[in-house]
Amino acid sequence: MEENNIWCNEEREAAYYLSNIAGIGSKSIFRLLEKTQSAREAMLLSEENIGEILDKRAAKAFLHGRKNIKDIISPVKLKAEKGIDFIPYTSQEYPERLRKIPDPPFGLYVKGKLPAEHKPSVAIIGARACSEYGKCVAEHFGKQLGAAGIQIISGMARGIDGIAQRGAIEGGGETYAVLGCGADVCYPQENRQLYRDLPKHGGIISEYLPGTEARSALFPPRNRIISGLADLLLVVEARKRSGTYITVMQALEQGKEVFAVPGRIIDTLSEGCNYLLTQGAGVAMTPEVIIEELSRKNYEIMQPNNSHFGNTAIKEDTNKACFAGNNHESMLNQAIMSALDITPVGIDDIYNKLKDSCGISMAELLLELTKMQIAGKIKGEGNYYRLAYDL
Amino acid sequence: MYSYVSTGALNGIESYLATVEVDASNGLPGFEMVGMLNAEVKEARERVRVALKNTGFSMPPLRVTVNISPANLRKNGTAYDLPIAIALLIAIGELPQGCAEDIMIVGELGLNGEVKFTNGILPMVIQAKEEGKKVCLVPKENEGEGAVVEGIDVIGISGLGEAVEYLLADKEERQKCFKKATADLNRLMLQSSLYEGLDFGEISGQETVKKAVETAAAGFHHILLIGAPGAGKTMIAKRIPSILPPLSLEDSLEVSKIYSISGMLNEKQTLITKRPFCSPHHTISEQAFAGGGRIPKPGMVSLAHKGVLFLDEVVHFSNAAIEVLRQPMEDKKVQIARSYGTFTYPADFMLVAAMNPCPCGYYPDRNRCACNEAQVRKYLSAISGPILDRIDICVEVSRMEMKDLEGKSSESSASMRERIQGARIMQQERFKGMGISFNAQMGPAEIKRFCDLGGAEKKFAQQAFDALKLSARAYHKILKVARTIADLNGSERIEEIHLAEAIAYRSVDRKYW
Repeated sequence: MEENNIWCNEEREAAYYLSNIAGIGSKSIFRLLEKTQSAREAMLLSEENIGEILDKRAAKAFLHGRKNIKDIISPVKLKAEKGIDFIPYTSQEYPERLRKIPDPPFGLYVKGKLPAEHKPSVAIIGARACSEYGKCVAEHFGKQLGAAGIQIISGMARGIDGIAQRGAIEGGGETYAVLGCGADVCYPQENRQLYRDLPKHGGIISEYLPGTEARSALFPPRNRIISGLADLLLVVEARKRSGTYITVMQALEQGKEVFAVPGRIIDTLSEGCNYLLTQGAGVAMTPEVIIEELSRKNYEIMQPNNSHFGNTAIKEDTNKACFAGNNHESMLNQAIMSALDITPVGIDDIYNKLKDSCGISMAELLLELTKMQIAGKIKGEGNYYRLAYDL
Repeated sequence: MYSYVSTGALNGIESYLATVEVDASNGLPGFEMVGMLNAEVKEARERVRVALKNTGFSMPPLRVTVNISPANLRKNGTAYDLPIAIALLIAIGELPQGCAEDIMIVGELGLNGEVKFTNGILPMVIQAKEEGKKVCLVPKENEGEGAVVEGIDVIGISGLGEAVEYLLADKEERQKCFKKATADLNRLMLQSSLYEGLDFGEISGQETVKKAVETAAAGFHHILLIGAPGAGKTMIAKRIPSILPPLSLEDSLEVSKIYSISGMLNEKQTLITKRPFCSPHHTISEQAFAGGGRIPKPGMVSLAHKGVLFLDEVVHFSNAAIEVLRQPMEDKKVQIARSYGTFTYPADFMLVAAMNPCPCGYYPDRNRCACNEAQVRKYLSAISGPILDRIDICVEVSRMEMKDLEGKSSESSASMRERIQGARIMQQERFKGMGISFNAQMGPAEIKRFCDLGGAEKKFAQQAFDALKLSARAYHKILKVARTIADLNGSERIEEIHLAEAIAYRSVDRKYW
């Protein structure tokens, strides 16, 4: 027991080692803390006491872990090597928002910063396999809300999560990712760049020990942290039965406001959102709706300079183009613009719409489409084209 | 007595003349065969002995030695039966010495003395002509195949007896009693420009894909079709032969040679006059693809020579099989090595591959596709980069709505073929004497020479490249395809409109890979 004194002279360090003992989770730790009030004392508990407080398995794991405590990498080393800070529940820095949720994590491993308490935060979540529409909306909301100084919380997952966070960074905002693996593990791999950028524009947060690989069982619990860190949950695109839906349920349990982006009734990816709307979720028509909602909570929010949806900007642009320059070309331009949508339209459909009214050949249409892509007015993906929403 | 007879032998697609030598002399009676012979060649001993007996010849008790020279090349196949029998008859004095001078004899014997269908007659006859033989005795069933070679008399023989009669006859009798096989080359070649059956007119809508396919066919570019199940990928691919430019006689002979070796020519089809269309099932092995066997036979890539190799559901082909395509797509031939030699088969095909974009087939239509990104990526990655690199045109086939399918007339194959023919002629003139015949075959030097862009076009290409984030590798492909599009439009210069279309054919793989 004597040697443990060496490790436990500081509360924060004690909490770190306590959290690092393999085989006991937040629940067991909180049970220990109930008895001892501090992590330091918990580390010094006698064998009998522990046997009384914890169940057999957890007690065994605790005793084993305490004996081999030297094997655990020291917090100083963790910070030096991986840039990861440990913030225990007992620390002042621990997010107040998380203290309020029913099942808070005991400690957080953080790369970068934690969300600031005085700034509003919004969790943007949605399907991993999202549609073009979802991508477009997630990026737009991420960008606009980020620019308004709202912290964007999400899970850095494929699809909506990652796109919204990328948008927030592009909008100059701060964004925080809560991972379902160790804070030093980048999952999914394709969000590598985002993972690298996040610590500079916010932070990467995880309740799991550094080095923990991503497992499907770890993701649902981290969703409670995503909703827990946010003041408001925004669902961009979700199927009716999905992981996103679980997060929504947790957010409601935590008493958070839920907003959903409406979609077409025929899109299965919008089913979840539309259902939430029928159940009374807020209608996220524009980022302003969210901003307004948050300002009611006494947050100070900067007004973004232009949060119009790309579409309007495009339309004005076309009108301008229409009066200037070569008449036929701009008319064709306009016809193409009106045939397009923010969801991709197949080239054959565009051609069928235009061939009679404008009398152009497929080759001419392709030339015009290429020119418009060069001008950045539209985007092509394979044989599909859509309006460029990020104008 | 010693005797010899010339016969044809095969080595890959090439043929050489072999000499069957027979010596019949006194000694312990027996029948020995030498000359690096395979089992089926050695079995000729029994077939010849019985066939001779059943044709009315009796074998004197002599020591017979048969040698097929050159003795250092491995012999296989059954084409040696008839020449062995004839040489033996000369050796034992039943036929006069010198009666088979300047004659190449090939054919398999049945026990009753009948002469049967034999593989590889076409290349053998071509070789015989080149080596100055005057007459070829070939199985009756193969005579049409041999007859397409001009400048040599091909006589179809139905039985050993008939062959003996021919050889016993003098020059005049030979000409009087034995009809030379003839082939109406003009009629045969005319077939190549006749098309019946599947027609592009039956496909309504799908304008982009039809245009892409037309471009591919005109410039012999490899093409990849991506689309949901039921979108019409297979329908489109099956109609490609109807718009391909006709085969020239020279090419037709080359293709026919391969089919002759594979035993795929018959009385009805004596010459391959249409571009082949091969559509192997995806369970095909790499050997069946490239050619294989102890004595390598031409594989699917060679059977598709000068024609279309259509791989439906290309991701389901085994990796090994797909990788086999790399050499033929690069070198236009396959080399198969065996311990006793290397065989080279031509394999200059146009690859048409079709695939779904994801396991369920509906990606990126998220209403129907629930495949996750990893599944989609894994599915797409089944096509390896090197293969993708060699494909110039890549298009998406989108599902058609009912309203698009009904009551609309569509351009027929005939009018597409007309444009393609025009492009074909432009390419022929351009590449005269350069050893290549299609735009797709251009190397960097030719691209520089023939795909030069004007100032405005260069600027346009530059802008498009920046805006669309195209790779440098894509640049050459786009130039090649733009050249073909310009050819289809009868334009000497590559213009913006041609470039834009070529770029559109590249944008699909940018989306998926």
